[in-house]
Formats: sequence, structure tokens, C-alpha cells
Amino acid sequence: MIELDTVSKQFGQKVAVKDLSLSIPPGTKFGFLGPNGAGKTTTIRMLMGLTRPSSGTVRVCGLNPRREQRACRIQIGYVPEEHLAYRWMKIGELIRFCRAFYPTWSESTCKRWLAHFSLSPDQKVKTLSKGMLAKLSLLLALSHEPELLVMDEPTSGLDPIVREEFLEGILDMLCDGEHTVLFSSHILSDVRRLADRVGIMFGGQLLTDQQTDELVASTKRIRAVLRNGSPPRRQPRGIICQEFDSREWSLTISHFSTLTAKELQDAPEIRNFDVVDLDLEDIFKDYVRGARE
Amino acid sequence: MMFEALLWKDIRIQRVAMLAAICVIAAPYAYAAYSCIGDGETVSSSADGLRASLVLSGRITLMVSLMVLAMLAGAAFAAERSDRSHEFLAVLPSTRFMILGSKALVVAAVASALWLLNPYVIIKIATIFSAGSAPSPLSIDATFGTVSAMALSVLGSGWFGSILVANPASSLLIGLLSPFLSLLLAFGICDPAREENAFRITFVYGCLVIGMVTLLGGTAYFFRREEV
Repeated sequence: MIELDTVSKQFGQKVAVKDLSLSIPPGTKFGFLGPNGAGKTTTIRMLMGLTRPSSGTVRVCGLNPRREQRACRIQIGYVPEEHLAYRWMKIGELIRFCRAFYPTWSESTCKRWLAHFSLSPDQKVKTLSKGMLAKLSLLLALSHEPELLVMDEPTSGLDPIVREEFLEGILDMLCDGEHTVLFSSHILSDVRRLADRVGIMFGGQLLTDQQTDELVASTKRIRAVLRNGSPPRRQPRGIICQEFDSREWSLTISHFSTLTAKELQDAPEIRNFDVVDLDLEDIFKDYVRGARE
Repeated sequence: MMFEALLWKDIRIQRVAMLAAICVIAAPYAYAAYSCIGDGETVSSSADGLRASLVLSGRITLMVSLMVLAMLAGAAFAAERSDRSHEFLAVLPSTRFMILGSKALVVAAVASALWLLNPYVIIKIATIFSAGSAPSPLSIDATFGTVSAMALSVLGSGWFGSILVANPASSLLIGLLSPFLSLLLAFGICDPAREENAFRITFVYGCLVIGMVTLLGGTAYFFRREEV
């Protein structure tokens, strides 16, 4: 569904995305994580054909989003971070306006979402709250029944109740069929709930891309007490980040297994160690911390 | 269907400018008609008066229409950029060609309808009312040519400004100031006191060049610009 092959994007001297390769098969719910400026939005813009990559190739639904822009966008539902619809239009007018662009527009789906989100066609867009605008954005993105739903921090700035309603809407849609979803978010509980696969970006590079459950299950923090303050000469593989505090060595490891535990157990420099489970938030923070170091 | 939707949207965006244009352009004619009817003179002198008033109104509205052109061209893109609704449009499955085509069609249709009305009134309708005196078409040829060149300059620069900036007022100003640039150019090249005709021709060609370059340059830039 989405294929990025060594894609880079530079704005002058600043590298926004560097050699990003990513393959997302149909039906995947992919959550993009990363601090501000990590390159998530730039990547999403390249997927939408809004920004031209400096190098590399982008394919969405088998199409080049820049050259085959219209054919590509018909298959994508897009929810941006800022919901910038025509504020002078009424909701009904905006729906009629958008309907004209999509041959696959479904009137029944649109009506269902209107009712679900309690939006009135006679209401002016400019009178809508941020939460209602987000719902309207989702309604417009879903009413043409896209194969791929792309959302760029869609719940940012929404209150918990509206966020819940918004997420329920997406979950409802996901229950309906084999949709592919790609979204970025800072709210890790949302990502944990929606994404079956996550990618963590930092500094324009993809640090990891794994199934969410696998990532959470296999990423562990080790708290080890060192015998003389120096770490083992043969360090375990997959260290994400580590820190030393006197004789205490704390490290986060990806793909932790019994083999890793055995290696640590056998290391003469380590007196003892504990293995701590991490949640997605801790994993994300450790990846970013490790990349910064 | 898609183009119709874009047209509807662009007409709605230009609605205020269009209404203002109709009012501003109709006002001198309305005043001319009112003053003639209110005079209570004889039929022949009243016809002469009406003709003179129509020619004067036509000339006034020709100049006013430059303002209207700047308003229309200036609002074409900048109105959407000012409230960032162009970012919403940019993600819809449309093409740049259609977006531009719809805007160009609205601006061209409204501008030509409003603008051509005045020469028509001056040349045709005023002639009908001319009694003994010579008809005006020949006398207004030069004025008409000059104002046409100014119109192209205003339209092109307003269009260019609208693609470049996010404020319709700024693009309107860019449009209105462009004939002055040509005027400065003409002052730099000719002495209007000694070479009146050369001065006028330089000014007219300056306007035409500015108009064409900004119109085409703005359009080319629109196709290259990354909207979001």
C-alpha cells in the first residue's frame, strides 16, 4: 500500500527526512511516533504528493503521488493536524463541494458519520469548535471510502472527551473492513490503541519499525549492578540507550530474549541484574534519548 | 462536476468583489441618467446631455474598472491563502490546471463583462444619442488603447501578487501600482513635453509588457509552488 525507498527531503541545508525506507502492506494500522521536527509531517506530505522528495521514490496504492496526484488522492482519506476547511461554507455546502472531487463518494456513509458525530448540515464551518472541526475532517476523509486513511496528529489539542469520540469513530471505521491507516501522534495511548505497527522517527531517520505488541514485548530495560563500575567488554546487541550511575548500569535493549539474559548472566563484570517491562511511552522516550546521545 | 464545484467556490469567494464592482460601475451611469431626467430640458438638448453624460460615465467607469480588475485578480488566490483554506483545497483530488482554470475563468468572465460594457456604452449607445456633434469613437480610440494596456498591467500584476502573497489587499495594491511603474519607465525614456506620442507609446508598451510578464510568470509560479 505504501512504499518508500531511500526517500530524503532537504529544505535548504536542513535535512528533514534522510534515507527513509518503509513498506506498509494493505490492512496495516501504522502509527508514526517521533518528537517535533522528527520528519513525520514531511513524510506524510510526501505521501500525499504535497511535497516533492529530494531523492528516493514514493509509491502509494501503487501510484506516484506527485505524478498521479488525482488518482492517488481519490484512494486516500486525509486528516491534517490543522483542520482548515472553507470557514464561510456551511457543513452541507462543504460536503457537496468535496463530493464533487470523489467518484467513490458514498452518501450513506456520509450521512452515517454526520449522525454519528451529531453534525448539522446547516451549521457554518466557522462556528464549529476545534473538536467538531476534527470530526468534520474525519467525516470528509471517510465518506469517499478510501483504501488508505492518513492522519497527521489528528487528535492534537482535542479535549479527552472529543478525542475519545474521534478515536471511536476511527475504530468503528476499522471494524468495517480492511482499511490501511497511517497516522502520526504524540499521544502514545492513542497509538497503542489503534496501531498494530509502529515506527519511531528521530532526526529524519526511522529508528525502528515493528509490530506494536512485539515491540512492547521484546523491548526491556535492564538494571544491572556492576562489580567494579565498568561495563562488560562484550555488550549485548540491540542497545537502544544506556546510562551509568556509579556502579549501576541501566540499558534498554530491543529484541530481548533468553539468549540476551544468558549473556548478561555470564558476564563477569555484572554482579546482578533485573529485567523491567516497558510501556510504549518508555520505549519511545528511550529510543529518542538513545538517538540524541 | 469537479470543475463546477471549483467554479461555484470561486464565484462565492469573488462574490463581494463582484457586487462591489457592479455597484461602482453602475453608479456613474445611474447618476448620469438621474441628472438628465431631472433636468426637464427639451428632447434634443436632453439627448445631447445624455450622450455627453454617458461618454463621461463610460470614461469614469473605465478608470474605476481598473480598480475592479485589481480587486478580482488580487482576491483570486490570496483570499484563500489569507484564511489558509488553500491548504484544504491542495489535498483534494483536483489538478493545478483545474484550480487555476476555474479562477481564471471567473476573473476573466467578470472582468471582461464589466470592462467591455463601458467602451460599448461610449461607442454604441452614446452614438445613438448624438444629435449634431461628431460621434465619439474616434476621439476615444487613444484613451481606450491606453486604458486597455493599463487594464492588462493591473490584471497581470494583481494576479501575480495574489499568487505570491497571502493578503488580498496587498495583491490589490501590487495590481494598482503596476501602471505607475510603467509611467516611471516612460518618464525615464522619453520627455513627455517634447515627445508626447513616444511617451504615450512607451507607457502603453510598458503596461503591456508588465501585464504579460506578471500574468505568465504568476501562472508559471503557481504550477511550481508547493501550496502546503
